[in-house]
Amino acid sequence: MLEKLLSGEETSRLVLICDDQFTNGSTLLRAFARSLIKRGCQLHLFCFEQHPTNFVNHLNLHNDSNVHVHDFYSDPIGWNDGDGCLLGSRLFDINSKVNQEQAGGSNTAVVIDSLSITLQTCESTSVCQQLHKLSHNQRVIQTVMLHHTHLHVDDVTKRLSHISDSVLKLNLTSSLPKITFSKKSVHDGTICVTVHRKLNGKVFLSEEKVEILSDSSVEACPWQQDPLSAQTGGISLNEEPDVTSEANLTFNLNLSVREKKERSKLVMPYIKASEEEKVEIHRSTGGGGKIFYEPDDVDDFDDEDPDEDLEF
Amino acid sequence: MKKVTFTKRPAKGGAVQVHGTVVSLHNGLLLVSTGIPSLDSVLGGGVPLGSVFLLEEDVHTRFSTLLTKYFLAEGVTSGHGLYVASANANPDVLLNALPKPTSMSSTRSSQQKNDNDMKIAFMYKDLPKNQSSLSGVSRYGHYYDISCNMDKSEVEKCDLKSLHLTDEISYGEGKNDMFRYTLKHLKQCINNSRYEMKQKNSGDQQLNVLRVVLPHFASPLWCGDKPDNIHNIVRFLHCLRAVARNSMIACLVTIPTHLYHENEVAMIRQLVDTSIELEAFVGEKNPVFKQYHGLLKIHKLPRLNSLVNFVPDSFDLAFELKRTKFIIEYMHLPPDISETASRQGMDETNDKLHPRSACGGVSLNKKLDF
Repeated sequence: MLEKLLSGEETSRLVLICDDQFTNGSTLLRAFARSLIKRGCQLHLFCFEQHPTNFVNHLNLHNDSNVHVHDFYSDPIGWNDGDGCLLGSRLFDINSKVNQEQAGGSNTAVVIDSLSITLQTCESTSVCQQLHKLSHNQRVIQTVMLHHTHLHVDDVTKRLSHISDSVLKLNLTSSLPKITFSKKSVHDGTICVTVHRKLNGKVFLSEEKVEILSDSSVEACPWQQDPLSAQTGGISLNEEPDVTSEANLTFNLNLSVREKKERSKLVMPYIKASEEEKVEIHRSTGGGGKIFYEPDDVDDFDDEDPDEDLEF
Repeated sequence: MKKVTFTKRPAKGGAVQVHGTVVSLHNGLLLVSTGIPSLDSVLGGGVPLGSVFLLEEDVHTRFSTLLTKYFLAEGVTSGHGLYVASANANPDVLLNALPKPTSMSSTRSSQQKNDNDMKIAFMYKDLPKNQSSLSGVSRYGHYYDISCNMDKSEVEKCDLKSLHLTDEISYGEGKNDMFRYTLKHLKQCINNSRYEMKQKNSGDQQLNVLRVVLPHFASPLWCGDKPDNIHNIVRFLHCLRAVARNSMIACLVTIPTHLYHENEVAMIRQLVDTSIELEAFVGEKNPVFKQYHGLLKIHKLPRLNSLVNFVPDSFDLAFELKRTKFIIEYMHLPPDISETASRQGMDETNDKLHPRSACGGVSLNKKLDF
């Protein structure tokens, strides 16, 4: 699901990346920014927490012309510029800023480095209203925001999740309490829990282990929490000894190594037949093809949708 | 010889006859359907006219939006007026995506076929089947197919009024007045129209029901800058109930209560007449809930003119969404065939080694030979 969101296969107007004090969401944010530029969008970058040049350099782009930087990092309260307004209210012009830079008809995307400072100065409901308006702006195809959950109360995170189409929460694999920060456990990795709401209302949940490479490309593979390691913190239990001891038997129930090899070499009669069938099937379906099915009125539809892939 | 004929007594004077409504069997109130026959059964027949129905949204609003669409579609099918006030998105988006009513004839013919097939147990043909799903016996409920949209012409036949609360409206009068503006607009629509209950029935205008829908009410988009939003919400609901009691309207309000604290939610529930909550499953692994899409929790049932309200058979309800139906069922425990069902006199170590079902294949210390 994460890769689909990154590549744009799944449309999501508002993406919220949540991290906390143990995980770092800015690398994932950069990955999103990079893939949006690759898709040919005009990117509006609102930087609050990092110096904009730092951010842009890490994107490793050949051509910087597609990136419009709104720098709120260098002069947060506007002392140098002179208007001296509160930082948070500057973000309120986000819609007008995006609209005025719009020259041609190309798509626009917005990346907000972090919402924390804005949320600390303004009411979260007002911020939600602004973001909602931005997401419904016809020209903006996607807005990606970074949110530090440990800096705000739960209510704020809940409200932001409510208005977002996709919420990506970053966690660590091991759930042990972090007593020392210097030790890095072998099992530590980052998991991304994605909750994505499609346009027709259906909700998908996926847990994936994420690795972000140096060129900001993302590798994600599905991940399931190992129940044993979750309880005992990664220490695997010794398997219990077999109670039915075979020492008292007069015959041998196990196979020796040589016997096992010979058993694996033996070809069963049904295997030959199924392999022949497989070859035939591969021959008949030539290249892949999509099936476009237009159902008639008389077609008997199944009412349920167990695989969650039908469109209703 | 006196002929005994059973003639229908004329309706008592002053009885209001409005299409799309039914008189409640429990308390004589006029009810309108929610668009989902199962939900009507749970509520005791439907939503009473003149009441406020609160739907507490599920976290991702998938099913609450669907229930809103069913409510509006039922209004179109019954010929009622529709009023939608939304701050989220344009109400026309909602009105253009209403589900299409399915024709009832197809389901009836399949039922008749099944009756004719009972060749052996024909004496049981006429007995009602034991159903755990609450099928709508009331004739005024309709089924909808959510994969097709209703024809626009059907929707336009109704009296449609919508209000899209955008920045122009809210910034003009101050953020808090989004609520006041909505209330004023609603009152304007009701005054001197067929939706108003007048003392004397002038007979000119046929009385009709107005379905008032406020989707995603009290979401962050409705709330103003100040943190005392709950007071504005509470005041609005109080005034809405007053307006509702004096008119022929049925209000559906959906609120994302998971964003509010418990005591705030309790205040909201106090001011509405009916309150149900949807809890949708996302990635649920519990096998008991496998066939359902979520739980339905009832927090309050309407009690407008009586001491006691209608009480359904059970409060453990779950819902399932099918393409042509939205089914609400009583949850019952599945038969216990778990591996760890213990029996008396069993060895504890045996449990781990020999997983067995409760009914057979048990290795007892004494061997039972049949």
